[in-house]
Amino acid sequence: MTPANAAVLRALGAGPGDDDSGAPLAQPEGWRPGERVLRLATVGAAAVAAALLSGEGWLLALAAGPACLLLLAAAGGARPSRSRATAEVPTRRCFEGEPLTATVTVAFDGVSGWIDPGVAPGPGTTLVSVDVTGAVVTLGFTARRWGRWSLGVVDLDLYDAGGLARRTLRVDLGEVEVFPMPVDGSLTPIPVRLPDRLGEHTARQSGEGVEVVGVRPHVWGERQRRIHWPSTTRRGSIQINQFAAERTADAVILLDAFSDVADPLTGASSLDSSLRVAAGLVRTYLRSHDRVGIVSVGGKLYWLQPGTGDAYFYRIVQTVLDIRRDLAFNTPDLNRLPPPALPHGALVYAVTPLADTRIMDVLGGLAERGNPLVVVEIPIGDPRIAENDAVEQLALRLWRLDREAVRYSLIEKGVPVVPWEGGTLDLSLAPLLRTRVQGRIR
Amino acid sequence: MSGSRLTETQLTESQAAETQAAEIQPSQFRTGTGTAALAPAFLVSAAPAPGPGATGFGWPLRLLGCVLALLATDPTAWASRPPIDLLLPLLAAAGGFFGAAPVLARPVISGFRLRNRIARHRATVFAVGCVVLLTLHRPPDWLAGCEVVLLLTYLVSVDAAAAGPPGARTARRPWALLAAYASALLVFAAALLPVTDSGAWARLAAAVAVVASGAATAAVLRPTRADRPNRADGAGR
Repeated sequence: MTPANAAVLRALGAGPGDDDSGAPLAQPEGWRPGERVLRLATVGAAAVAAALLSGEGWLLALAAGPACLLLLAAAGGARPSRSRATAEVPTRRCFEGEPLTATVTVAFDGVSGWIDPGVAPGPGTTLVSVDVTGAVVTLGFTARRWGRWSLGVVDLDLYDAGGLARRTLRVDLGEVEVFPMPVDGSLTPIPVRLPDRLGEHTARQSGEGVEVVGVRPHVWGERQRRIHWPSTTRRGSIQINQFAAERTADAVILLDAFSDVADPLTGASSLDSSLRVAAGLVRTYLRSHDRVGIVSVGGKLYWLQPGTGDAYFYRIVQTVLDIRRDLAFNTPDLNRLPPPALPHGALVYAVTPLADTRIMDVLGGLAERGNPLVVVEIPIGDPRIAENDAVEQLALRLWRLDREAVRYSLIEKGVPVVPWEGGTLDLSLAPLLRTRVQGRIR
Repeated sequence: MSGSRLTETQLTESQAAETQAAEIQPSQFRTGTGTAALAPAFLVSAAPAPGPGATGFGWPLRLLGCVLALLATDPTAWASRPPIDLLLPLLAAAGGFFGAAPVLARPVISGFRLRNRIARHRATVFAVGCVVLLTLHRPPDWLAGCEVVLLLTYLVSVDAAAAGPPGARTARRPWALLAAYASALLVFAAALLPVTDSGAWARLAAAVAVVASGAATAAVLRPTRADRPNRADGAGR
């Protein structure tokens, strides 16, 4: 075990996997005896008591050594009468897997012999390094899961020069925002009807794009460079190339936060995967200069009207970072959403594990609104069963049939269901490119 | 360890008293790495804390604990005891093996049950257990002297392993070790001397004990080179 790992394990106090247990109880303020003085004093007192009770004078020799050690340690110098610790976290926003650094600076008067840091990291971060240099404690974290997390609290045990007494300073490291790592993808399926704004998607209407969709007779005043000479030669009259219009698309990501299901095999959180997929969709559409919005259902309703631009990605993700904190059991009413949140005709991606039946009501409401709807199914894995238990096997079969029935009910309503199996989104969205996504809006 | 020592400044007592009396504004606090010497603040040592990885002390301390526990049961009397009493050395050795290893984790409350508290302070419990065994089984004088030395060695070693830089610093200071061992052996020798209150040997022994204690204390408490004020820093002026 390297010294760095040893320092991390000591700072954590418990095992490295117990870092989700929250902050420990606050230590009492003021100076209190350390373990060293308790040990030496106890042994010395026991030896003196044994000598007095048994009448064996030589047992006092067992108390002389600890007493001498205590005397020497107590002569170290004045202990700090005032102390203060301040924390500084230079970067409070990062993506999953990126490092975070916190610096805790201790200021005190008097003499201190030892600064012993204890760290209770937040639930979404992992402590990876502890470095004590002088009165500066540098802590290295790794962002493990997306979310708006408390980075944790640090208990600094400030010992006097002899290590006999200590006092604890508690420092709160504040909150950090960990953004999800978007899933890769480049395909952007589009609905049948696109809004009347210039963009990069080929619309069915003719316009001023670059994609040739046909030829038509020339009208006086049109540009001659658009003449389609083969058709002109065949028909004997001037024919003009007809181009498709290029329009932008509106996409809204509907995030299912009704439940957070852990995969029985891998332990992966369905909510984690859902937001990664949603972030991947957002990034893909923003790269093609489309407008993207988000609505999260489950608990408190978060929404952000569609917008565009690279910075909008961060706004969208920040909007839904708190969904894990607000899990509730009410079914939201999409009719209460303001119209800008769900524009007419916008392509809606519902990112859901299909594990909660309440999402079916929401999807049904969306289908009735007429928005083109695509369900991206997040895998949650099959429940684990005993191999030789017939009842459990039957239950697993029923469970699979139930999920098949859910998918079938959606497909029957005209809602395509594309599974995301991990990896790139293109494999999931490629079947949608065969035709444009249709809703009830014609 | 000495390379990471940050002891650079010390104030005279009068200066320290003046500064203590003055109201210290928050901006006047000085960190261990700062340069402004507005307040008498400095760190004696900033060595890395001992952690679970500092297992270099583990097995030697277990071995030392086993020897200490076995000797506390008076091995010279094993042959004269009934066989059932031989269980005591076995139990003592087992207690030494499991209890002598120091607890290197941070001193945080892991539980309020007695079991948790004993596990937290097992080195202390082990040392006190050895004292109790020595009380129950009076060893010969030479063995009692060995026990005194071994118990003090065990305590110093546990401090070096678990008490952080202050404990390790004590274990590296030869004068401190000499004072501790000398005081223990002095008391031991004084306890074994066949003196009476009115004899000449009693006065001589008392005088030697006083002189030796004073010399040992003065030798330990005199300022060493590392503890002297750092004139370049300016805090001691």
